[in-house]
Amino acid sequence: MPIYSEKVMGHFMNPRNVGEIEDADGIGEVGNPVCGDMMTFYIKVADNHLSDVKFKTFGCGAAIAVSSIVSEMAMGKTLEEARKITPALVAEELEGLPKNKYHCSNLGAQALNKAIDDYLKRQGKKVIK
Amino acid sequence: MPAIVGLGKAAEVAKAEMNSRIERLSALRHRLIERLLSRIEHVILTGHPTQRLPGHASFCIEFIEGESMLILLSHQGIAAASGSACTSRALKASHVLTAMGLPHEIVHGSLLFSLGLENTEEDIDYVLEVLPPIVDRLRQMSPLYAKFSKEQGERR
Repeated sequence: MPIYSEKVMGHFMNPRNVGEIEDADGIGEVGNPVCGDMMTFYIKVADNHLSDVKFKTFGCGAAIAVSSIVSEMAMGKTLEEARKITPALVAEELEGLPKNKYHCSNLGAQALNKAIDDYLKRQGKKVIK
Repeated sequence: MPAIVGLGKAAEVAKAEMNSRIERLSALRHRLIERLLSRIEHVILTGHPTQRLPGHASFCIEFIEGESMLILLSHQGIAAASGSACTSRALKASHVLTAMGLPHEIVHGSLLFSLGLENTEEDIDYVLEVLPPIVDRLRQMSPLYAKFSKEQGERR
């Protein structure tokens, strides 16, 4: 098993914002169970801000910790600010990730972005990345 | 030289005790396999129920991933193993389990227990007590399990 930072372990043992949002304004699903990771992010948007963020994740300890911290980082942010949550920032916020787990931080950022894309599409807005 | 003599002695002891060890470990393995399958839903026993190593019990727990199970088990003092991609350095799922025809997403939930001389019935019962809530907790987080439950609900 890889050795995780205390922060990763904290989020894995006690993940924030697990769940689904029934009437989500946007949903982003990334990964693939065949690869061993799958994340689904649900967002609620109010006044251009992420008023609620929830996730469900199938994956290793890092994948779950990444989902948890991304949900925390995104909560309350404007859509533009949330777009700026990069995999590198996620890894930094988690006080590092083992090298072979970096793809997990990519997935987290991607899932959030995809949920925002979905929201914009539903609003009939152009998706600007 | 001393190591050669030592190995000889170890082989001698092992041979003398082999039958009783096989008997003891097989009984523990049987207890673990039978009770785990009856206590947790959607679990696949990988390999033959009885024609297998006496101290070896391996499963695939559906809808969840192996490494996250290992961390939670280890947190409660249980050392197990998994053939999930995330637990391997190469990030590849167990080629043995995939060769057995199991789909990748199920192989990621592989969980393997090796029993040894010092393990007791109490150890098995402890695993049976600790594992179901861990599986439940990870399934509650799993989008695959959510999809499955939803489909089940629609079918009913």
